[in-house]
Amino acid sequence: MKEVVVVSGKGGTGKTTLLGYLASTIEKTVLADCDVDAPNLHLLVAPKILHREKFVGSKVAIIEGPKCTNCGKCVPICRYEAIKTVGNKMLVKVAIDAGSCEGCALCSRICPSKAIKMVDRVVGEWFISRTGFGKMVHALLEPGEENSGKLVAMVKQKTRLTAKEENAEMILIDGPPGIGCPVISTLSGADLVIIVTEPTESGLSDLQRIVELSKGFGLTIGLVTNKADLNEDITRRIEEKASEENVRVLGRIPYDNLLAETMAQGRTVDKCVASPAIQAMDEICSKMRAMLGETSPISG
Amino acid sequence: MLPARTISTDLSVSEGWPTKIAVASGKGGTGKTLVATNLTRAIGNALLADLDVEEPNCYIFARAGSEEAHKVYRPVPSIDTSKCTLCGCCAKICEFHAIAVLPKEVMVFHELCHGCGACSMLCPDDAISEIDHFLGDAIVAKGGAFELVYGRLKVGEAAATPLIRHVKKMVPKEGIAVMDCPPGTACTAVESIRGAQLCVLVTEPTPFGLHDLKLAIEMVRKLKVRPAVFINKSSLPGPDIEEFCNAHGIPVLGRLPLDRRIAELYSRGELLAEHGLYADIFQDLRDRVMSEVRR
Repeated sequence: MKEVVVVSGKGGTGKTTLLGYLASTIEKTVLADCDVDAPNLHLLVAPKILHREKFVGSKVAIIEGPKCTNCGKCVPICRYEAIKTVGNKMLVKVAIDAGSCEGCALCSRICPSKAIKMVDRVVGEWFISRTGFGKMVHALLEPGEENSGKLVAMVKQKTRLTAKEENAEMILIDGPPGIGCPVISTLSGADLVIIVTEPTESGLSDLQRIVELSKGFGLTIGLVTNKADLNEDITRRIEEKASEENVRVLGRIPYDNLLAETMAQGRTVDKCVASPAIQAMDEICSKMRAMLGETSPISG
Repeated sequence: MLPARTISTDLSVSEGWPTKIAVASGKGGTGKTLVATNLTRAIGNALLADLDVEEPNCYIFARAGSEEAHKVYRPVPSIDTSKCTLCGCCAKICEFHAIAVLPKEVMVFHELCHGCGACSMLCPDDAISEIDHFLGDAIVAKGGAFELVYGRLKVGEAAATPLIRHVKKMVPKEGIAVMDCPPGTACTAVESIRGAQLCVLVTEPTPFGLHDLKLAIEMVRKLKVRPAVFINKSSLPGPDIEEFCNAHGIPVLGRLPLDRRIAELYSRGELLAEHGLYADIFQDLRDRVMSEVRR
């Protein structure tokens, strides 16, 4: 079984577009969406939820009103500035902003009247679903919550279990943008990382950082340049950079309004008429399979 | 190039108070940086704070004359082995599992540490102090198309929020600041948007754009920040974002059509606000944003 992760550094370069195409082309796959705070893959593959579970990400501090003497000792020790005194000179009260609390429990430990309790914090939900392209594991972080990295780790764990049960040959994972904790969590243990970039100065700048991150984990990297003809000069610079960094170029997808319009209607691309972009993705798919074959010739 | 603009005094909203305009989105790649940089250029006397510290890009459009970087650290525990009795308290206290006490040593995992300070404060033997862990750079970029401050997270560092907090503190207490925020609706976006008067959510008329816009609006409202919308690639034949915004009482402050020429200008790191064809769109956006902030 092979695990392929599609990431990009910069957002909106076409991760989900490419992943949707790969999912519709390759058989015996299990899909996962690790972009837990802005998931999109489900909009493309119409999942039917088979199992759902709440996710407790951490703890959060709450003040048990009657016990609190409003002494204020907890206020300065909170590094997240989550505890504030509210009210006027006559009546000062201590209040915790749950949004800023990271659940370190220091306040509850130092409170002289034991008035601060740590309670479970449900930060999201994860799902196992059936789609036309195999099973899929996905999640949704409550807007504004933290611990997306932990929820990603949960999605990955459930994906691997599901893939085993399904006897899948490949796991296809849609990753989040950026290079921070949810991305680090997404990349861990992948057989192949496909980075989708675009030929813009921003895309190039972000590419260098996600390549450096992936290489830091010793991962095998393939590169796809979307909208490649938008700026041929930058596309060339991107591919030069790739060869310097030992990153395999999997292909270029041309700028294609038809593709944008198809995605705008929420359809997977295989259903629309043949176009240069689709042909390009088909070639990328074959190259990716060849590359996976190389990474371990005695594939299980 | 636009001539340097003299800004009429009515743009300074409330004397002595910072005006913070966040530019965010649920979905990545909808055009946050495009809107934030061009809006800042159109306002003229505003500061841009690039809070997308994982992948900062505003510097490309600022083309600053000079950059001054300083290193930012976060505190992590350091064990004084001469005082440590291997009692195991710190490992029990740490809610983030960043400390493991083994039979002969204490291991600290910097990448898991949230820097709460609980271990150093509560160690019964006073054996834990805090040392600096390098997080990334905070950079002031001067002499470009606009004044810019930004953060650049060290590659491999998971914790972006402490750097975001640091860059936010570099924004002066007075004047107008535009803040380019990271994508998504998780803690990094929250930290960036918190405290703004207005949050311009950049979206696109696709099912993905609309889906993530709904999540982003929920987040922005939780933070008690007023949401507004800018529709990029507005000519796409997807869901009707305007209708959605009207139904939910969210003002649409501007639109930009899907146009290959715009994509090409952006690809080269150029500002649309400096091109005759598109300058009006961002001057109009500036006026709408400022009147929303003053409401």
